[in-house]
Amino acid sequence: MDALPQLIASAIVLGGIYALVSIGLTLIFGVMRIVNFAHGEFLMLSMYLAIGLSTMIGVDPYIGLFVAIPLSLVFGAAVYYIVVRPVIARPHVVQIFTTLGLSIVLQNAALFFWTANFRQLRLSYGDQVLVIAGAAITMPQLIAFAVAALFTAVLFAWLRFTFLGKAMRATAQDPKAATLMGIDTGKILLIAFLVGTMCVCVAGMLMAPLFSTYPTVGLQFVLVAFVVVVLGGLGSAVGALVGALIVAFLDVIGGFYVGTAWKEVLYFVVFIAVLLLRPAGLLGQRGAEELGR
Amino acid sequence: MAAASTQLFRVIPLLAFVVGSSAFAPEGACQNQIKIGVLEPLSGPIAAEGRRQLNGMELARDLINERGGIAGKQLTWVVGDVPDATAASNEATRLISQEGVRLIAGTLSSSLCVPASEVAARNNIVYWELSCVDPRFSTRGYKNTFRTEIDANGFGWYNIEFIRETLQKKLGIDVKKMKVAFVSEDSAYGQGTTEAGKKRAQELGMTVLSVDYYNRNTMTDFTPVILKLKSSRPDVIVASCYTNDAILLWKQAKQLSLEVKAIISAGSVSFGSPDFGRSLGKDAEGVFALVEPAGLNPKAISPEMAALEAEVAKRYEAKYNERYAASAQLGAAGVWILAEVLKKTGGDLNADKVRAAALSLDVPVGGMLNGWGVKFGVDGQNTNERVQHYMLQWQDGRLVTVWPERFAVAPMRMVPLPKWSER
Repeated sequence: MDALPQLIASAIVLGGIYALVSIGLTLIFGVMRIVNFAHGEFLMLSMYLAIGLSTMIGVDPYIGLFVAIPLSLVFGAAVYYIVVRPVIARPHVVQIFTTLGLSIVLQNAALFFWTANFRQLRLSYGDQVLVIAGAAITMPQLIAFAVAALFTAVLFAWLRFTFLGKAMRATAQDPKAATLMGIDTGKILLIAFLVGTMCVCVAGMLMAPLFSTYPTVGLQFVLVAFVVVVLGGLGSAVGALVGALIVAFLDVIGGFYVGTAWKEVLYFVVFIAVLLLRPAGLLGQRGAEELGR
Repeated sequence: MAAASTQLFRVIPLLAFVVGSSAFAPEGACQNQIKIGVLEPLSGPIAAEGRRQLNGMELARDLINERGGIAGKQLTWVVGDVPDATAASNEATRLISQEGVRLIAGTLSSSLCVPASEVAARNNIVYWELSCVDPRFSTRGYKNTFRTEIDANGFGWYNIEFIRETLQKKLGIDVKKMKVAFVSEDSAYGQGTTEAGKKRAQELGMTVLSVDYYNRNTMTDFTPVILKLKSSRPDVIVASCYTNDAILLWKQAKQLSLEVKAIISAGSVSFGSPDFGRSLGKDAEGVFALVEPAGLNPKAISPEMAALEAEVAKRYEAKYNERYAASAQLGAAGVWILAEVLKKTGGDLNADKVRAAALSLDVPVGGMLNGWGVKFGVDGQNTNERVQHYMLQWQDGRLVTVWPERFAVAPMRMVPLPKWSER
């Protein structure tokens, strides 16, 4: 039983990491209804950015965020106008091929520029362990979780209490009706994509000290992110956090008591059960599950 | 209209001639070449090691060609990138049907060698595997499928042999009292190595505390595995990992203060990858990797091979700016053995002739690159006893050969591993 505090702490931290990756995706997926297969590659690029900033100009990734966030907005806008906007009104198959194509291009660009070697961002304080209630947590893990919680709270408040947030939820629920109510849905889509890209960039910056960086690292997290997003409810920031924590708890605690080979079985069983009972996801708003407009 | 169609009739044969001659042109230019096909994962999750392997192969090929080639002909190849099993099968087909190759070599990974070799077997051409370890590879009854590297059974066997022959003495724990735990990714490489190791450990009377499998593509947290190991307290952990998971495992072992007397992993992608040492720095110290030698005691191998080994390593390090890596060594040795076989056939790639030549090759341990020997079984597998494997240890940021004793260049250190707090 003395393993339990550590298991819970590890699950919470891992949940925070999954949430960071998923929050951006839930906005893009939920509001824009575009399945962004390149989401994992956005994550990969920001992990390389963290390593680049650290090795080339000696900037800590947490300070590097102030450089990375503006960069991610520029990058997001470029991707939006060049790749995403032309296919927004097209059938899903076209969108899927477009974002999948983008993902392959980015993966291979990374392979070309940085080779396939596994890189690790090492911070001087990266191995410092804080023991909290019998559980060992490293500084980068704690920061990643704190930022994930902060982002969820801010996004939740933004979506719930601001006019723009309300417009965004309206667009997620029914884009046609939203347009009729005078919402500039084109602008909303751009904002959703930019905020989503920014979130995944922050995720990458915070994950670089925790995981190896290599051209296909995105694949390791993006499948889980899709599960989390659908489980929590499309477009819901709190849903993403809850979904991420559920998946992480099944990963870690299920892995301990049942076996690591079974962890995917566990969370997919829960995933299917949730979808049967609540097709919109745990905290999804009504209408959000209807992918066909 | 009529004039136009007449003109068309004139153009078609001309076009046919142009297309036809260009298609046959490489064949004509190949008089002085032996062209083979090479499959390696150069993109995708294991591209880092695939690239290293190809680099090693190219160095060996260049050396062979500089020394007069094979029966006076230069060895050349066309390369196919095979990130996954589907690509392995497709690219093997393309190399055979489009490029016209009569022999394929590759492929680093157990998930790639099986589909690629099936295509080769269907087309009745020779398939020459340099490094996959799937035990099923050589049990399918294919006549023209060869493997120069040992299989996972060999990996598992050598891991435990190392414990039996030397580690137990250093640790002062009798084999029958030794407690081992296995942690393994769940592909053919991990399962094959782990099951063979487990069987051998049980035969020797060791206590096998646990076997934990995981999917390396989705493994993001080793806490459950590490906490189990903390409570079962094995003396030795035998791991079978790929690279990113190996790094994560050992990083988290430190975070969670997993104290173990020794940890071993077989294969060039795991603790044996240069990226492992680079990523973990001094935390990698003392970890064992069963791979190709990073420098051998020259007394244990033939002088000719010692010189050649040094030459390949020197060129590799000058060209690629990293230490001569295990994946590259597997590639270089495999190509070297292939060249020895093709010298016997006079450069002929006919499957029956290659088979006869390969089976007749008999080189004792120490007579090849990597200090290997060669003796293919009728199943096309280079016998595990001839493919000498070595235990390397991370010492001062580099992998050093520490076992078997006659090949060792340095004594073992940090046995048992000190506590994390005391390092």
